Amino acid sequence: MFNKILIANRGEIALRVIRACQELGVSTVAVHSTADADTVPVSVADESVCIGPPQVTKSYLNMHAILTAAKLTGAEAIHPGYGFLAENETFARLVRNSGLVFIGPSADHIARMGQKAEARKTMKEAGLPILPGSADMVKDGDEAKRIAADIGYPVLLKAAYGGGGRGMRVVAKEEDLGPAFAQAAAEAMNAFGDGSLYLEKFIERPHHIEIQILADQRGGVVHLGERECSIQRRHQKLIEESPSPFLARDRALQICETVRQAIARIGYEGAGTVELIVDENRRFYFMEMNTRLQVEHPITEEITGIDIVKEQIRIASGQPLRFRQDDVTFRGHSIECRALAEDATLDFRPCTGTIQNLHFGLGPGIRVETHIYSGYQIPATYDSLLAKFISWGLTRAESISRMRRAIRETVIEGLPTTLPWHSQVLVEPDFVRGTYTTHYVAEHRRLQDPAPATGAGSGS
Amino acid sequence: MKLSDVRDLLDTALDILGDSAGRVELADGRRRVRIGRVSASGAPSADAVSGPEGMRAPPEGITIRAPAIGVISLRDNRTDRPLVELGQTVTQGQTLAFISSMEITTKVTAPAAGVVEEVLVDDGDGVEFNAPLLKIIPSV
Repeated sequence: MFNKILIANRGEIALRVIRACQELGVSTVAVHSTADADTVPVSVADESVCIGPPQVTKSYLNMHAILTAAKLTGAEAIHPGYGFLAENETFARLVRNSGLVFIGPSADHIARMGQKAEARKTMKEAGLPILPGSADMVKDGDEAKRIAADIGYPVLLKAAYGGGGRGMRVVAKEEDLGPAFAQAAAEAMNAFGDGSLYLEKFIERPHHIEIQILADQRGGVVHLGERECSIQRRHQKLIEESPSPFLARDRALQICETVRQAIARIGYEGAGTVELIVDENRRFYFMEMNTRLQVEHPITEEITGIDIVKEQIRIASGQPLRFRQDDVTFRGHSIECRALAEDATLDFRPCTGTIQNLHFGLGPGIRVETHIYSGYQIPATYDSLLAKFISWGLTRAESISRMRRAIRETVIEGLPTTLPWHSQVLVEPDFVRGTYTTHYVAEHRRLQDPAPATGAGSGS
Repeated sequence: MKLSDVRDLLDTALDILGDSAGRVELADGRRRVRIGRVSASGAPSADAVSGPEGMRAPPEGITIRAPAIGVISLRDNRTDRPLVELGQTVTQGQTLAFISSMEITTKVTAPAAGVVEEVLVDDGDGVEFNAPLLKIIPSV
């Protein structure tokens, strides 16, 4: 085991990693920008080092400053948390070339999974289904028709260099494909200077479901079940739960096992998450892999009893996994609500401010991961995550009712948060029944209407 | 504009325009504003001065802070002689120290002409970003 670990991150995740280190008896170095000098991770770490000014490029993304801090403090390993340098292959390589341990997978795995096309090719070869579609750019309407006839309608035309819905068309039947192709290509040309289009199968009611993996350096690989992450907007998740209410247990375990075997084939090491898109018929397709710890990892910890951060550290220090797949058991149900410094009534606009009054509703089955305190000023420079509420219950219903109660009790004053929106979701029938897809936020816009003034956080 | 916006603006101004001591001075014919960050001890590293010229307080020490994290060298690497000594008069832009981190060396220079009042670090010390290194009393 390491003697000292440097945590190259900030906020709640820096605190989470420091806590894991403390439980393992490893000393910690927190690095921080000048804006974060008065934060909780800096004060609870054994040592702290200021590495730069508030801008992330000069501090949390400043590889040389972080490596220098590790050298000066004698840290042996670096935990990157999530975001910032967590999936930066150059950093992983630099850390290792400096004689230190990067707590995460190899730079090669980071690189391969960081490129969408390469990741899909790799995982397809490893045995995971990928979304049927054109392997390459589609030349014209006729070629599109041939491919579409093969994979079946509806299909999605997508600009190769696009984003934001431009150059995108959903086509339900063959006679519409020709004109749609021409329109999408012209739109893509206008918007991105390149009219190249891809074509893939269109999933009408998709679920975003991901599988948590732990893999040691000796070929031991386990999955820790799935997480249902379909409630998101602009690709940011707002609520996650495990197990998924959409999948029957045998189907979920089947998918997890398929993923586990694929990960074993690519020789991956560390914690990782395989993101899948699951269609109405519970067929799944590989989307991408996150080669790091996820924000929502605690819900998996709650139902498995496995501390994923500590396992990451043990794996990086060369220890084998202490459990096999059969030893991993799942108990109860866990939900995470991400309290963000955002105003849901203004389309989730980020806000800044100073926390003036703070009280977390805790009690049975509630875990709060947070770095904020009364008087803490939310910097505009960093992300908007204030706190993660994680509830556990023997059943999904109990997990939901505990979350409702915890949020009702919670007071966060000084700036708008997403908690009033979360409280409304927790009583909304589609959520309560567990019948929702990635369209949930868009299909329930009324939950973003300003709520009548009631108790803080409750909004009901 | 909210107070927090003003704060963010000041931070940005310091990051972009700040000298090695982390200070910015903005002046026109009628007013002059100096801003700086609060040091670890809680005392402002620079005072705010406003009002017409000629109302300045007596010169006070400027704290020169580390522009990067690294190992500090207070010696000239060719002659191995100290770059500056206590009580020495330095000119604006004169090299006071070097900070090296991972093969990158950053020069620490005097933001103004003055006399070296205090050296707060030892040669070879590891210093974090923004750590106080030296104090100079600017010449009037």
